[in-house]
Amino acid sequence: MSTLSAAALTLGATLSTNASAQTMPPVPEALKAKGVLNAGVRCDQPPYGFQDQTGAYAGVETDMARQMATWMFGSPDKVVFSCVTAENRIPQLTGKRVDLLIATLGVTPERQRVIDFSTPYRWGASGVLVREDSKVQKVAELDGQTVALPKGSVQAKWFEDNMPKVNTLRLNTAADSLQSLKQKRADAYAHDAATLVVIAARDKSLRMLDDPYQLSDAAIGVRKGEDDWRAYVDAAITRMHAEKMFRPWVEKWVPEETRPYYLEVFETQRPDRK
Amino acid sequence: MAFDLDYLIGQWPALLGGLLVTIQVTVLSIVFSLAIGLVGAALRLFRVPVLSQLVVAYVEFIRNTPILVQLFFIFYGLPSIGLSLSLFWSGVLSLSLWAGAYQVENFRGGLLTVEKGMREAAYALSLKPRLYFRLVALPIAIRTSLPAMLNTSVSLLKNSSYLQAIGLAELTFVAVDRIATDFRAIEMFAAIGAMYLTLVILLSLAASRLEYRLQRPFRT
Amino acid sequence: MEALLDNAVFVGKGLAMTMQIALATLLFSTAISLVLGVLASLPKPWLRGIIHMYVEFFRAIPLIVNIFFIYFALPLFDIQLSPFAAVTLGLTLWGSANGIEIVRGGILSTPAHQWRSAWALGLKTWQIYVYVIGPQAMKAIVPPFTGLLTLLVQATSLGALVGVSEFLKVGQIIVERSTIMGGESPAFFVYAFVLLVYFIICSALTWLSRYLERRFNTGSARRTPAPQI
Repeated sequence: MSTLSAAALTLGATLSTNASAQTMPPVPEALKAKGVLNAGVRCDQPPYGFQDQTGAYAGVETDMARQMATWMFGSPDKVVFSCVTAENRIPQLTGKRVDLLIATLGVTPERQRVIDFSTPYRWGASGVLVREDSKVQKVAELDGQTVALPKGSVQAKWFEDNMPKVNTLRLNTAADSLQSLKQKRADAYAHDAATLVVIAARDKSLRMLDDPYQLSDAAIGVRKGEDDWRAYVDAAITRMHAEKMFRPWVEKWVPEETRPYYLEVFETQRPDRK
Repeated sequence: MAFDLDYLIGQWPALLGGLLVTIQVTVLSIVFSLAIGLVGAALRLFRVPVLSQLVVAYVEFIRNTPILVQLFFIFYGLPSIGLSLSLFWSGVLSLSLWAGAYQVENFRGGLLTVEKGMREAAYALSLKPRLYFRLVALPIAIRTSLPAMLNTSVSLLKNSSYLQAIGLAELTFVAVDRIATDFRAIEMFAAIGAMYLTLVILLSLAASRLEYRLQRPFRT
Repeated sequence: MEALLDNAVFVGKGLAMTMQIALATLLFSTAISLVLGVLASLPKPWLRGIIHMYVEFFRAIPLIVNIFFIYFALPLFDIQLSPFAAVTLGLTLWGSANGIEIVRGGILSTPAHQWRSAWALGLKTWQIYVYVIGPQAMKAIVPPFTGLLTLLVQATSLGALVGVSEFLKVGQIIVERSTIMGGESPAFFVYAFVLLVYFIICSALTWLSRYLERRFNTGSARRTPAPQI
């Protein structure tokens, strides 16, 4: 499904206010028989997917999965979560350990070769976080410096392709990258703007560059060839947008000061498509 | 999924880079751990008042806690109290402390095999304790504990792979990083499996050779 | 400190998971070690050779590479294992490799004349193993095996690297969540706590191992080889 038609579908869906249960396609038989939704989510990316004090799965994306389970099986508890990481999320999906991925999965051509994407549920920019005293103002000024990047992220690939003169410090998690920035092992930390916005709001010693790059979409991942399942997922996302379901979820999980940013990426159109 | 040799050849520079880091970390840690082992064993042998009890505590602590947790504590925890080391040196420190504890025990074992008669003979010759230690006990102890010391060193090499967990670009990290981007797990693991096996075998062979050479005075 | 108290339930779940992995691994490792250890002590060179290769292979490669291979590469052969199963399998392969050596050493340390005397008394082979060699070998096997168990419990922490929410991983999640959402890093206290708990558990096991060794007091036994870490 090309990004253009995906954009058109999202646009059309948000304009129409009549999406309702009757217009959703049926749940594929094979999945209906399982009785529960096997969802792969992140456990280390607040506020999208993480674990709270009791170890319960939490986050905006987790709530999305619970909502789908409600529509499919009638209860938000009929979902089995699996923690996935950048390395294993695709193999977990293709190996059928999970039936969909709602795990901050950016749409990229490399991934498109192996799995299918639903219509995007949000867009996002990539950002860069630097220390307060850094002289860097634009991404281009990072040449020759050290940038911490989570392994397997779209930012890691972007820097590899577009800024080869940057020393990339590829680390295992977002927290690791943040840590290296604060401890001066790296000069900058590049990741999804959404994650960085939360961090910058809470930590006055860090500053986000006002230079967004690489706009991308986040979508739900499904296996190739399961078109009826993908149609269902698309319809679910459309319905979530139409019924403005993202708003209460964002309000639940996202700290107040960064909510406007999050509402923007969920509810509005990507800037380069307007 | 077919085995893609061309891909593997293309990744060779990255893998070699990781191998280099692995070797650097391992060699440095072996040297430091031997130093720790020597000092610790000596402290215990001479029953130095406070320090020898500390050595006992140190050895027990290291041997009864997972090396991965020790590593996380050093790399993530210490900075909170002001001690912040680079990835590389955190790794070296962690491995050295871990192996050092085992080397203390290895050395101690070696020292204990030195017969009492040696000590008495040394006193009869008016050798001071420190000289006795340096000239008599130590050479004997090193020969005896050499197998164990080299054993620990080989374990050190294998455990250097844990450093990937904090993001140090050693061999295993490079492999997993490539897998995260290109999904070619079999090629990567075949490569690093072979590399680790080769290193272990080489190190063990060098160790046997060293043992053989050191036994020369005692062979009839 | 508050980080730990707030997350007490989560931490408890992590500890329970650690115990689960350790127990499952212990079960399978013991079973494999006993069977293959006995086989390895039989006077059949080809059998000893194969088992020896298995043992040396899994003791030579880093344990983490072992687990990662199971976790990342097996799916490409259509073998899907949960992270828990992957860790248990990886630890079992390594644990049994060491366990086989311990069992073999224990059996071979029983004096040779025991065999001949038992034969002379007319006992069948399996009876000799169960009633004569077994009990004596156990004395040489159990203490080092307990030491191996200590290492196994420590090794369960590797589950954190493949996503199993065991004790270390729980600590890590707590630290990361606090770092990103709260700006503060409780890493020092959380990991110190994790170290402390492991220390308590493993010290107890080590003490048990030493106690058993003194109790059984294998006088002339050939020293069984220490587990390869």
